[in-house]
Amino acid sequence: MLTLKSIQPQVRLLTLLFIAFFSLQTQAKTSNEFRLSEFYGGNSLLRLNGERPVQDLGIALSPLLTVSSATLHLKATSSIAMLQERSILNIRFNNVTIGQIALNPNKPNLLADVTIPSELWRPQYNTLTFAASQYVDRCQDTNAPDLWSEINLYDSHISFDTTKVINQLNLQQLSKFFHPGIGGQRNVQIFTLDDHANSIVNKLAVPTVAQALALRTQYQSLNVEQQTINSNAIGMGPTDQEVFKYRESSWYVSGESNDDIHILVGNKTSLQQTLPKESLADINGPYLKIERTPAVTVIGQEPIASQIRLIVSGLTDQDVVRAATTLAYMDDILNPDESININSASNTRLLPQQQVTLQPGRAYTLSELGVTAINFNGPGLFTKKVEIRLPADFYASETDSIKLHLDFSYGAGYEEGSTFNITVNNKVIHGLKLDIKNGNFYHDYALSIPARLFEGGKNELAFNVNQNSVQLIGECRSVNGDYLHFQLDNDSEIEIPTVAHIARQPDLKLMGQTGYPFAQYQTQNDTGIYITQEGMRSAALTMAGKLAQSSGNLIPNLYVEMGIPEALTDTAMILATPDDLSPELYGDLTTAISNSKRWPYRLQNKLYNRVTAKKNSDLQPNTATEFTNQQSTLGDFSLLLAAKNPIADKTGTLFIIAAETTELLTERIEELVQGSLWSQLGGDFFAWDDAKSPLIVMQVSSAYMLGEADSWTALGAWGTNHPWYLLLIIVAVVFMFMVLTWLLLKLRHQKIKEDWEE
Amino acid sequence: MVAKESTSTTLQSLKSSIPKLILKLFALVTLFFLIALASIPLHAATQLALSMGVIVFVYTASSEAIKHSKKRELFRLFAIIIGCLLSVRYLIWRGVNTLESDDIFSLIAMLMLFMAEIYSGIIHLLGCFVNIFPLNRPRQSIKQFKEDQIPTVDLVIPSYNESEDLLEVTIRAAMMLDYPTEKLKIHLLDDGGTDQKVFQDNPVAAQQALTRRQTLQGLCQSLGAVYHTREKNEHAKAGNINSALLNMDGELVVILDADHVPTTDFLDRTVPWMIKDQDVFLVQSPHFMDNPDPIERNYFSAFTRMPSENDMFYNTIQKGLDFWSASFFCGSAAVLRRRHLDMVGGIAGDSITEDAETALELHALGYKSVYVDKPMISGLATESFSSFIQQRERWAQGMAQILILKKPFLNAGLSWYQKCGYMSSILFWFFPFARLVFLLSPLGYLLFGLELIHATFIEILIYTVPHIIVSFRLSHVLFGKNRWPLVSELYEILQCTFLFRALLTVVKNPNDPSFLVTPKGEDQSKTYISSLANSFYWLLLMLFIGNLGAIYHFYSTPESWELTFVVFAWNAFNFILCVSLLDVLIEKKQVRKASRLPAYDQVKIVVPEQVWEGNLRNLSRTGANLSLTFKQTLPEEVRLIGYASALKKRVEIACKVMYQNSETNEVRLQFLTRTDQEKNNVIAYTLCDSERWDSFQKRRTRPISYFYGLKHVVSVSMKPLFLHIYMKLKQRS
Repeated sequence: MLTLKSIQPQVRLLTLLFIAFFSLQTQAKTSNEFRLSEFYGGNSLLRLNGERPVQDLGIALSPLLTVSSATLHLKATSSIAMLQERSILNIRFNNVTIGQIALNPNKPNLLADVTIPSELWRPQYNTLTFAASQYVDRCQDTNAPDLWSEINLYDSHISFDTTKVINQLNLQQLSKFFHPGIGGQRNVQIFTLDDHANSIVNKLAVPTVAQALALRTQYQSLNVEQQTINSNAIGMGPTDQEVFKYRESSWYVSGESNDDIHILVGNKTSLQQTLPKESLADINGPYLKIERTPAVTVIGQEPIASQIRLIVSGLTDQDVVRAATTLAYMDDILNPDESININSASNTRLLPQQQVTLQPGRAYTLSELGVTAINFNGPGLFTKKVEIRLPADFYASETDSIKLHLDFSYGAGYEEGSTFNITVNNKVIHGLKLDIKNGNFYHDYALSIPARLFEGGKNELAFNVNQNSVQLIGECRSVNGDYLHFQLDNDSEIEIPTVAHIARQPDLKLMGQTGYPFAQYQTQNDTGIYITQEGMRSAALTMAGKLAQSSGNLIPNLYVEMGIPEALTDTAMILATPDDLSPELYGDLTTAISNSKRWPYRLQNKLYNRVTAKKNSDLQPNTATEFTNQQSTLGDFSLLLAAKNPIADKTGTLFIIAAETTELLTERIEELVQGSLWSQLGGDFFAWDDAKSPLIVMQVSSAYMLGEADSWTALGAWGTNHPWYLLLIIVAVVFMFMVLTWLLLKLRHQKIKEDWEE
Repeated sequence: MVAKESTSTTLQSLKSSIPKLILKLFALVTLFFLIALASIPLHAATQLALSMGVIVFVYTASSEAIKHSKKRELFRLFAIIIGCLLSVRYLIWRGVNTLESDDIFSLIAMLMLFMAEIYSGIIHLLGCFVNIFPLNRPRQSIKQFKEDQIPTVDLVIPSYNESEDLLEVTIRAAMMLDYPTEKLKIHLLDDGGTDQKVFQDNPVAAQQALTRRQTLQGLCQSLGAVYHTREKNEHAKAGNINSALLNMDGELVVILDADHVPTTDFLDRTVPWMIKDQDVFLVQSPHFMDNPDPIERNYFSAFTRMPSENDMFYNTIQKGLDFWSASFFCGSAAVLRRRHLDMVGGIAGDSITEDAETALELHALGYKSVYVDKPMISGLATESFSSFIQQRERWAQGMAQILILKKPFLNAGLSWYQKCGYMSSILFWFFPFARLVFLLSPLGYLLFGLELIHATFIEILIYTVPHIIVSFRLSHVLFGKNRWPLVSELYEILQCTFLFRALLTVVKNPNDPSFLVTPKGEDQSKTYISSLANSFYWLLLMLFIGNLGAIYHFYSTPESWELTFVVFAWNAFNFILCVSLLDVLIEKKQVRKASRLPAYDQVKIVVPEQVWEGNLRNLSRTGANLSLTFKQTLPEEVRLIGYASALKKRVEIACKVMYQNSETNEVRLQFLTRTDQEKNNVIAYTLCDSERWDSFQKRRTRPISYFYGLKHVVSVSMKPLFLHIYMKLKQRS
């Protein structure tokens, strides 16, 4: 007989479990589906060639997410020459085999669903591996051309259900909210009080906060929305107690709780109406706090949901800026508290850009670049890529060279075709045959690479080793080559020369890759993003965040200002509609966007071609250099122009982003900052109307140099950009010298003649 | 004429209005800017644009300069300056960017190659400077001066071992010089009949010396010349002249080598320059060779169609040096002022090129030289390759001695431009070092894997290739008429191994070299392989192995095929040049005693009571070839009547008919010189007319394209190699 008493412990346990389950901070369950091509840098086909090919895909996942179920939907094709009984496609997840699919020559097109056990998911980074065993014959050449299969990454996808779990809310968790992986937050709201549009908080603190958050999303875009709180709205509670409760809540946030974090920015005084007294009492200087605000329940209803917010505050506006700056620089993992008061911050030794790039004039070991010892084992082609991030304005002359001092070794048994190639930005700069049968060891193997092969920003130094084992002729005589072993020591060193710091402008590609000229290596002057409508502030903040992301660090003096003053900062960005822009701003520029537009012919034609041509090959070449003035609109597309700043004290670059309306501008900027479009930035004229690809990318302005260098290097840089002008100058000087020489020669000739005519 | 006058006036006014110093200052500042521009670091694409641009400018300007454009001087100057700028830029690039290697052997090879390039670059720049404004002097004549203004002249003919026949021709020609007889004395300075020779221990040699002395004394007596000899053979040619000078008192001294036959107008055209300016210590005229040197004879077989080797020096460089008051004494065919010679103790003798050394010393004292660009001396070039090398070794050693012992670049008496002129002339003779490096460097890479230049294929394309193109073009602009493409390279390769050794002895001991008389009039009656051929065989073998090395490189390191291709092309070029040069080393049989030069005179052939007309086809000092205007069979002996410009009258020459073709009317005659008058007539008719040399020289000075020159070299190609093998095998059997 089952009595109540007898089952009491079980009931209690169940009750506890039930309570525990529902007491979890977060319960929202989300379904996600992603194409595999989103996790692969190459094209949408993953080719598996050879006998035992292996390919990895990295899948990043927000650490706040737990995966409850996941399925891989795979679409692949394999060679019809495969031996069915031995050819298998193994699928591994975090190195655990989760599926084995026979490569059937009779069914070369395969579709498969593979379940990924939820316990295999790791927080942050996961690896999906495709490892094939491909056989066409019992004894086969490992490089036989019919040993292939390919996975259609675009049509293959991974779907999974996730739940966001926030166990303990403190500042340590902040990065997890904005993790670049799946489930990371991609939109953020920043709230400020009804302050003056160009107050320090609005102008400087909020852009700094936007940058700080964007830096946490790393390469993923972050759309920032700034809203102003009307502090008078606090008076809506009927009783003091309700007002108090109301003040504790995130009453200014509309909508339901979604476990996204929002940011509240303001000084202590301005936040009085939005924070409870206890919280205000904690603010003694620059102040950061993360908290979950309670929900407000009124007559059984919940008009205000519980929210997670980050408070960026301080006693004064300057304190708020300092707090925002700290938010950008601080390492979240070192802040286990909910709130911190910042006493002081010292960051004067190196400018932000000097902290994130290799410094010219210094040598770095590979371990300092974060590279562990490189080991390649077994036969095949192995590559280790090392990112060399140089200052954006890294300007190497012909004479400069970057030196590599490598310590590496390889074991015995390397056969014909074994090579060690080193590439810089996909250009082979050195090759070595690994042809000593007994192996070899190299210490301080010195290479001198022309520094001009490196560009400002990110560069890729790759070590490619092809390891071949002995090839035995005869039936089933093969050696697997597992004994092949190559090692590149991470004590190997790269030496960066001292170079000039100048860059060719205007260059949207450089801006896209490095944030230059907003972020500069040698100086950090004020740079402004000017908006012509208050509604553009969010778009400006999104841009500020993207620029910081591109530069890899905070751009400290980047501010957002309402209106276009008479003098702009040297480097500046204007967000505007054509109606807001005066023609005077454009001076001699080839392109102008105001009420009337000035388009270069070729641009216009290109644009026309782009719209009318069905495919790229239909595009007609354009040679016209004239321009037209016309009355027209921008329609749905937006334009990003870059040109020499016509209204700056010193040489600088002016960026103008224009769209027909404020809303359209905000929408286009949200598209622009997405990786797919941002990575295609180029030239100085960039038009787009979606996030996939630009309508047109052109270089229409004449080039100029920006930065500081000795006059010699600057002259060389100028000459490099203006070869024909340089030639003309040379011809002119030669001409002048010729005339002077001719006169002197004639005078001498005259004198000689006088001698014999006397 | 009016334009010339206006230019002259403009210059005159310019001279008075703008101080020359300011012009020089501006020129210097501009030059500084040019060099600065040449050293701007540029990226590859810009350098390519720049190089292409400069090439276009150089070709356009030089094409205008070569044409008879009104502004050709300006175009020429522009092409030279902008072309040199590119070369300077190349050398700066080479020095700054391409000398880097971790391998010590590669670094040594690199530096050697760079030094060779620097040397070539300096020679090129100095060459451009020297020849930037070749001076053309007007015709002068002593007829414009009163008799008392005309100075007395001692014409000296130094001799060592030359034959009596050879000397007789020279003395007879000298006796016919158009100059007041009482003011001209001819002296034969015999160093082959000195007391030292006559009384030497070897009785046979002593007897030969005595016989020579007596024979030459008799010759001089019969011709009216003064015979000189001396006690000892000290200080070679310079000592011989200085010894004789003690017994002369003429105001001017003319020096003629034993084989240098003067034309009658020699003194008429040269002495006026001495009268006009008392500060002129030297009037030099060109040496015209009326026979081909062994290279011209054996290799080109184009003596009458191609500019001779020394045409470049005498037709261009000496004129260029003359503009800078740095034309120098070439040992013969020159007039020197006795007063000035005495100031420096006579002909200098510290080096074995006493001529250039003497000129250097007198230039340093502030005296002037004049170069008269008119061939008025016809001499004999060396006949065999070995004597050719012997002659060049002496020149190279002598110039190296001057550099080491006299240090012209430090000589305070010389102006900066004179220093440049002398350094250009002297440094040229160090070409064996550069040429050997250029020949052997490719082997460093092909056989030993040495890195020669730390640069990419693209960089070589955008720096080296334009520099080579522009340098060739400028050489064409400066010397195109007088030096065909690749000829310099061929001459340099032929001489480099021998001259390199000779130069090393000078560097080791500057006082070591001794004067060796260049053999002339050698016997070339049979075809044989030169005794100097062995070193070329070794060189060829190395270059051939180098080519095999290139094939191995292509196979073993396909990734560096671009670099291998460049070096292989370089080595293959050297190989082709060397193979074709084997032709020179086959000393070809020479049938005629004297080479025949083209002639176009109308002549009459006279036999008793009959006269026929004919046209000369060619002429030598021993005979003529002509075509008769009528079909006629001639008797065995005839008389040829022609107009001798030298004597300004018709002369009759007795001739023996050697051959006649009744179909073509061609007749070959041998001159008979049985009497003094006949000898004089033959010499006057064949050797004493400067217009004849002038027209012959003008006939062969013409430019050809680079590809034509290359085609010629390639066309010679492998044939000589097989010929050598055949002759060597034949020799053994």
